[in-house]
Amino acid sequence: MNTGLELQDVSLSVGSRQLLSLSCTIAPGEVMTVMGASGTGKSTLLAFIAGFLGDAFTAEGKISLEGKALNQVPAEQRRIGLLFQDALLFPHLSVADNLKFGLVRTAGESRKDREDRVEQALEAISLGGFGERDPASLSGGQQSRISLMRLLLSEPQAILLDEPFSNLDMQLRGEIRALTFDSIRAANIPALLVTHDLADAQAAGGKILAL
Amino acid sequence: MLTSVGTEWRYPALVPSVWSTQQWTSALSEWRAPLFNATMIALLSVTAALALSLFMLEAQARSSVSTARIATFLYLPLLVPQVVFISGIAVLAERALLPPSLTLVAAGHFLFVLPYVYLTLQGGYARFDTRWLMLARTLGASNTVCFWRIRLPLLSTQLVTAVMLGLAISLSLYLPTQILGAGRIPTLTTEAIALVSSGNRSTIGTWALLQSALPTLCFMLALVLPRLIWSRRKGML
Repeated sequence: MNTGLELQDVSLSVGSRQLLSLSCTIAPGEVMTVMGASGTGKSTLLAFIAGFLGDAFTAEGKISLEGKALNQVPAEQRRIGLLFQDALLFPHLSVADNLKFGLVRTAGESRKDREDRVEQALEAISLGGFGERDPASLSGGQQSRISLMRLLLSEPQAILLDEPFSNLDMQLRGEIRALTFDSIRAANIPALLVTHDLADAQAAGGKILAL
Repeated sequence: MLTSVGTEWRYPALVPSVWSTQQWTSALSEWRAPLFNATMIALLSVTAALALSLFMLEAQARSSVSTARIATFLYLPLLVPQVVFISGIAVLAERALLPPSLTLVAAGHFLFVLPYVYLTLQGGYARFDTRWLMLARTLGASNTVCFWRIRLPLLSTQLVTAVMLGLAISLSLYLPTQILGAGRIPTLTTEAIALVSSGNRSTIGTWALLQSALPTLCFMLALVLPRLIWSRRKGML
């Protein structure tokens, strides 16, 4: 039923210079890696898929998710989640409000139910009771876990990872990487990882595409 | 400060020899209307300037449409000599059969406040990390939701600065108030300047202090407010 994320004859260029062209299918639960030096258009590819391509770029080709074409769908309706290098927890919101920001509403759910769901999510990443905390007061690892949980609570149907582990120290890196990939497999959704680190690509365990 | 409470203050004395609070009590009875006018004009002009600046910057941020060209016109009131510019506006207002009023003065102030408000906010928009918005959009927030729940809160410090700077400028404007109000809309600034020619030092002292108190308060609030609002969010400071 879920056919994953499909890129058909995608070609991105700036002016007359072509950045990349590719066709691929990412199966649900798979993490495909795109590797390449900076300037090869990795981030542009993610921007194109997520729906944020700048006017300076021209793009061709078709993006489809679960068989539905996405090219004309606005970013907020694509249900494609993003994870950046930094945790980027909204600094003006509490930890719980950060998680609630993208929380998908289910019919007939009360405010209390939503709060319970947020608390359960925090417990799942061993941060129970952290809801009222200021994100700035948390460690880097804790922020990364909350960032990942915020993404998962928005119930994306595909995830784009933009070098999400490169700002973490070695010890944390393995932990957060495992947690991220396990969550993607558990949610059974396709993911596209952009990185320049071969260890990340190998840990992802999916196809590797070098640009 | 001292001149406002001294009635007799001869040369060698360090402090006035005769003290009186009479200047203050009489000023207090006369300052209500000027204070009200000044505050209303400042609030009206700054609100309008804030709305227009945000509208222009947000439009520019969301599309490739550049409002930068229009923005250069905003600086016109700062480049052209005030007397000429304001007289022109006054003539236009008269042609349009707009009688001198508080609203007309506020409209004039708006033109002078706008460039400062716009510049302050433009800095905030230019430095804004667009990843916040991308993140919010992928979490399901529309452009409008992003504006209210992400853009404005994250720009709160610049917003407070812009508003306070705008208020302080409007409160200190003299010529636009005097010319567009045809002298019939007294504010703290016009009264203070009118009294300078009175030669009564303690009166001048009292009004000079009143006139500068509000702008000073604005600048203090610009510094203190963000710290108060975000005392529990260290990432915002």
